Amino acid sequence: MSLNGFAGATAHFEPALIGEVVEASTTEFLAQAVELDSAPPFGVFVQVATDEPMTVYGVVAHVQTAGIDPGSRAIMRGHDDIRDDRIYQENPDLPLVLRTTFRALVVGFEEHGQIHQFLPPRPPRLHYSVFTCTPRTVTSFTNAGFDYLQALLNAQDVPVDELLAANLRHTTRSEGADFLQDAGRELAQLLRADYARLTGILRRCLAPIEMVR
Amino acid sequence: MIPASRLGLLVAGSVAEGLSARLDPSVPIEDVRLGKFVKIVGQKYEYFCLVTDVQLDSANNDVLRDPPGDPNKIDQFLRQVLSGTTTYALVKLKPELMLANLAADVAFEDADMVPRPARTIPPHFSNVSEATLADFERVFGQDDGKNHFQIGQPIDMDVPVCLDLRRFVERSNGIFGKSGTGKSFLTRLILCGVIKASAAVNLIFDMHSEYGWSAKNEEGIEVKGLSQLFGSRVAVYTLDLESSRGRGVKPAGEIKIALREISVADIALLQDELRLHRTAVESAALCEDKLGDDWVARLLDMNGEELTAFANLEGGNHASLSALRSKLRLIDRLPFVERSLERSTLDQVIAQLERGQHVVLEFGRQRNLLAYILAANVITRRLHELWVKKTERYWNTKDESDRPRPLMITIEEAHKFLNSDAARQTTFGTIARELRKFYVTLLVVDQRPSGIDAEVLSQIGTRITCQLNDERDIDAIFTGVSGGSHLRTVLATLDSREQALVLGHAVPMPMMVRTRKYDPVFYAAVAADPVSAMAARARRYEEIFGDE
Repeated sequence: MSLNGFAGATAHFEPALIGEVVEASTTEFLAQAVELDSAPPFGVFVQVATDEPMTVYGVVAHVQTAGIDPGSRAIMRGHDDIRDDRIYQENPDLPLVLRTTFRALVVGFEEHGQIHQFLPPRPPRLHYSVFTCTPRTVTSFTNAGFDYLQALLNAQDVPVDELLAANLRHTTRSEGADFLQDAGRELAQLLRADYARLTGILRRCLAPIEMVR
Repeated sequence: MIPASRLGLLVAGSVAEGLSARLDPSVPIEDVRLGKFVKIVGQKYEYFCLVTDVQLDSANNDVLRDPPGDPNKIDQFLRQVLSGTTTYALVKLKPELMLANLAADVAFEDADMVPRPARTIPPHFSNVSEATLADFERVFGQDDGKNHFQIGQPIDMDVPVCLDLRRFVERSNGIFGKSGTGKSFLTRLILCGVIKASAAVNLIFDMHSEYGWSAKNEEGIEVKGLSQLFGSRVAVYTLDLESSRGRGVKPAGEIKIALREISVADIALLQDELRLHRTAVESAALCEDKLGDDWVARLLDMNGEELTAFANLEGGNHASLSALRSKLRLIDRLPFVERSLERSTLDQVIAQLERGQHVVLEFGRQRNLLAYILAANVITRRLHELWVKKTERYWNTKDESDRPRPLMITIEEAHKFLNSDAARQTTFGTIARELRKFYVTLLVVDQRPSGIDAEVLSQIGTRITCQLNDERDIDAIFTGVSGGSHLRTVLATLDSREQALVLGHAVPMPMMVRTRKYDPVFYAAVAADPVSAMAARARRYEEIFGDE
């Protein structure tokens, strides 16, 4: 499992292949993780290259593991002392009938070396590879501004506040505390009418970072 | 691109009510103080403003209902994030002046190139920034030793703030402040500027003998007086030779006043000090009419019978005349008042002033108000008459060489001369109201401006105000000043020493200043005329090479 390996600021300097686009639209794309249960963490930046010199950036907004066949549902397989991981050992076919998918909200794109924090002209193509973003890519993306926070704030059918907090938490680990302060100020501007929501998000941003330090 | 000196952005305001600027999050609110001089760059003009208030505001009142007040890290972070965004500071500004914005692509008239009162306001979101040295020089001019004199520095910057001396001497001026705030230091400073620039001839009624030769500052250190700084250009006269000699002063002469030099106007002014009855002035007028110039001496010499006879003959009130006579004895007893003099000692002083030499009149031990008011009024009355004659001659001949030198008379405890009763009857009141018509102006030094007649106050050109606490005094300062309410808060925050608010005719806009230090650096700066510079060099030579 590579879940823990992803989190550290120094962990990845090369973009790691993490999935393949299986559904795409202007505002979001759905990708299947290359390996069962190895989707990128909730809230991180991912990228999809296209044929044109354009890279679409997204933020992981939802992760799901379920049966490959939309009609079939997983059933209970544990018995006696066969529990948890041992179920997988006893049923080697499970990775073949289950899959992990993740939904990423499109937050911007890069074209001719220029980063834009608005929706790309075309969605990514199906079956193209999804990579995690390196800290360097995250830096250049966030240096381009905080307009992407607005895109996250307006997302439908996702726990927006949790998503924002998770994204800021992850990004702060590589970008440092100053980033969080600047992003927090931007968020304070966006949420000036909703103080309770703002403080809720900012509290969730901060707690784990204190633990890391 | 945000300029480094930017403080914030203009967000609201009006010409009448002043402007509001939102402070940039990066600017610490505590760095913005009342009285700060800031510049707003509009599209056509640059506006120079004073900070008149600093306010806390918030975009969302929920923050104020549930403030992040815990000392823990989360609330600390919340406060950081909120400050400058949800919670921010508003700076209230009073636009004072506008000047052409040279960067603007607009054809300006000549009138736009000099500071003018702000009659409009810059558009929304104009940059509000700290004023630079160049801005100060554009507005206040440079200390050139001639027309501009540096009076101090702004509270938070090291740039000179200058008085325009030509404008300063055009009108009567006031230096106000409660006692111990450095009024007399400020007065001496300004007198030095006026003398150095030869902007006017000065006559100083030096009640506490601190302008002539030397004085002590608050720390008890001796500082130089005007005659030490300017040598023969300043002559010290005294009413008390013994006291002057005791202090090591070599006065140019002793002033005596003969009883015949005293007139009814002088008596009227002394009404308070002598506790005269209302009818006393009428009785005095009667005496002057009937007894001639020497009426005081003649009245004093009358015995009871003669007084009764005089009262009966001339229709005076006996009781009133008798009371007047006993009060006049107080004047007669003053050491510098003589029954008669062979020739008036005042002539010497007046001749000196006519030649353009400055005169300090020390009172020595005669520092009671009776002596001060009497002497000051007698002398000023004669000077005023003379200057009026000179001016009338100049009007007739229109010859530049006949134009009288501007004369500036410095009086302390001015409310005694210029209170609403006295101001109507005395020369000082006349001078204060007549302005520069006759080339005589007053430099009024006082701790109770509220005691001065409102009409006189409104004619005061430049007001230099140290700390004042009394509400009525503060009101008095702003008599006849537009936008005074904005400046009240500024005045209320002055330190008790070495700070002053300068407003009026000689400065383009009101300014809060740290007054210039009166120290050896200043001596060197003002005494830079050839003679004293030579003396200073000689002293320096002695310091380096010894006396040999």
